[in-house]
Amino acid sequence: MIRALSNNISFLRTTLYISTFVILVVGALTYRSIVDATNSSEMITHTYKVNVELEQLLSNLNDAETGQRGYIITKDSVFIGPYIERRSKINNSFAELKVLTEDNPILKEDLIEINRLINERLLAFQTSYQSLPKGDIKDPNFISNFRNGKVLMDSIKHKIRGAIQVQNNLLEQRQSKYKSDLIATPLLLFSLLLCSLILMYVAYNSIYDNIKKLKSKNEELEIFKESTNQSEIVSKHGTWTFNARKNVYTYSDNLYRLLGEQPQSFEPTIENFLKYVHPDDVEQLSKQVDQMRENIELPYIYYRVIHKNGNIKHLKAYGRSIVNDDDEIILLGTTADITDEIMSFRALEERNMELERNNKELSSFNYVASHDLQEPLRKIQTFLSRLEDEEAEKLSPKGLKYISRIQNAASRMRLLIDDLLQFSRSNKADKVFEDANINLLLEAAKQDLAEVISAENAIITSDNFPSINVIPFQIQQLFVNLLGNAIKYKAEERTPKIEITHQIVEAEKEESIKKPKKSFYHKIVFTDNGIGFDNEYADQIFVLFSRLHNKDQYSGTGIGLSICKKIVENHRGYITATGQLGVGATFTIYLPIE
Amino acid sequence: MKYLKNRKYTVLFFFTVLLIGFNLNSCDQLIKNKNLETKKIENQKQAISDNKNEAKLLLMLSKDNQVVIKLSKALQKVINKDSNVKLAKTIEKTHLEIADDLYDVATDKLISIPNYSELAFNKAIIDINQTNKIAALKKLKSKIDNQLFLLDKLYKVTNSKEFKTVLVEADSKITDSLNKTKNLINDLKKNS
Repeated sequence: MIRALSNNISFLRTTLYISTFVILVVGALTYRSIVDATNSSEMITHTYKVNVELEQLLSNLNDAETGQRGYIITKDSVFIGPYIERRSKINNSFAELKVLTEDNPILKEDLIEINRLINERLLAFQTSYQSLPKGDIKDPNFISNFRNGKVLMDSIKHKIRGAIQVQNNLLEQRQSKYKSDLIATPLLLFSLLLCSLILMYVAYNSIYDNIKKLKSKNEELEIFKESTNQSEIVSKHGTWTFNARKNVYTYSDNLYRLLGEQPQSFEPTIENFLKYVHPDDVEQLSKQVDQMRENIELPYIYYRVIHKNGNIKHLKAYGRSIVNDDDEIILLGTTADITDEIMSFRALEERNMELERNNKELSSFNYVASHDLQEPLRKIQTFLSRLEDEEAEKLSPKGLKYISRIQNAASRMRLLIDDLLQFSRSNKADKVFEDANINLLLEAAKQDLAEVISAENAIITSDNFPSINVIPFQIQQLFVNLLGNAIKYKAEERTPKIEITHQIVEAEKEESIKKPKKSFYHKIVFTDNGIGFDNEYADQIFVLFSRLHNKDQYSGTGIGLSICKKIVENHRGYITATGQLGVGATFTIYLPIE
Repeated sequence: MKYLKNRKYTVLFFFTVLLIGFNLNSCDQLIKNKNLETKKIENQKQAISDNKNEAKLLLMLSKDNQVVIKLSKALQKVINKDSNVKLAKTIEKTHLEIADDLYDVATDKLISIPNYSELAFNKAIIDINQTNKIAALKKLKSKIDNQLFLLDKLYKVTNSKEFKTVLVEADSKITDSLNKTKNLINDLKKNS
């Protein structure tokens, strides 16, 4: 199943698309995860920066407060320096924080509030200092201002710590997200790697298998190509292709040989090819080629080519179109050298004509000979009869015996001539087929044999026959011969019975029908209860002049069944005989149904 | 589907899908490319630097303004002529207004500057003699000059339109104060 699917182009293509899609999706997820991790990292850094600046702010404020206290206690202007310097640093921290909190409105609000408080606190420093009456730090106004300053400082610290706490919470969230992003990224990367590896392995396997198959197919193809070349040489044919779109031809090696040239010895173009074509055929072939270009089909065409040594070869070409993978129409053509066939055909034609001529001569000789022989025989018989009538008394008994034997011989000769005449008639070519009523023909045959049938008290039964397309006089002759045969070879001890049956049969189911020309046949069976014969002679009895019995036992010429066979063959049918000594014989006739 | 049976179309289709996928996958990368990121960081640094400069300059301007207020106030007590006292008062008043404007701006911009009530970490003691008066006036002039210089620098540094408006107004007022200070100096020199 998997092997079958792996050989299916559509399946492979679908797999490729799905794999690409999967890799892209996993790749996109990985990329997204990396981006998220980077963003999380940036956000953490950002939060740290904000925290550091807030701490810095607090530290600067503490320094400023320390400076102020130092100045109040010592009255030394050295302590004022840090106070003034810290204000500048506080501003720097605010400058950083302003940029860092651009996208955080809550923190921005907090910063405004912190800034306000810091300003108040710095003012409180000043007020405390100004309210100090000549260094008396126990003055109630000073203490009140100082306490007020502490409250402000606590508020600032509280506010800043609150902001730091918010930032820390945010930091925790961001760290948690960063961790989850960090966990997801390697997982996705690993998935991507795994997917790629699996696909790589599958692709490698598939490619490896395909290369192996390709190699093996290439070898087969090479062998096939070589055998094709050999077969082209042996069968004297060549192949060619024509690309209709590009108007390009390719010729096989043997096509060059058919033109009497070495393989690939000239460029395969139609112009070059026409140079070898017989001048009388060039025009016609050019038209056929034009037609071929138009229709992308080439019916069987015949033309001659002339080799360089002057040999003329007869070629036959045929082509049919196919569409290749690039949707181009390619005409695949075959050109065969039919010179030998043409020569053989011509020789055969001559032999046929000669044979036909001989046949005609033989038939006419047979016919003429039979006719011409009858006349002297008739004279012999006539004069023998006169001799017997008029001179019998003058002849000795020995002479009479000789005359009787001459008469017997003459009668046999007459019978032989009659049968030969009959046989020659059955050979005649002027056979006219017509739908005939077989029942009538059988009746006519019985009529011909009425005397014998009556003498032997023969019982003939028959089926009802349909009309069959036959040569009527020949079929009648066939019936006469077969009925006559059955009566002649009757058994001494029983009355001859002849049964004639008819049925329509399928050729394939009948063993006796070899190489049938039609699918259905009329089967006519003559069964008698005569002396029968040994099946060993079943074929021999149809041979001309062949006899199974001595002429003293049964009269006859050995031509009758040959005539039967000839008649059945004239009808493109079959005749067979089977027999059993002392039981009877069966003759089966098959006549084709047109 | 007929076209997909052709290898050429298959490869084309495959690469199109790949390209679309690639684009979808990396459009973020295309938008947020490295240069853009660098520029963003630089802009951020620049903004911080500008903010710091702005705060520093505003603080200096504010300090100078306090010195001007302090001197003009002190001068009022040592100058004999009424018209000159009036001039010194006007200068003080003008610079107190400027101090208010600057304080408002500073609050908006989260910049901490000294309030005018924070004056007198050092008491401005001016002797009554003429030379010291002229010296104090020259110092006043110098501070006002410096204020104009700082205003000019601030105008270049700040991006805020409102702040620039305040600066323009302050510039005109400070220039007026400068003229008045020059008149005071001239007048004192004539009388000496």
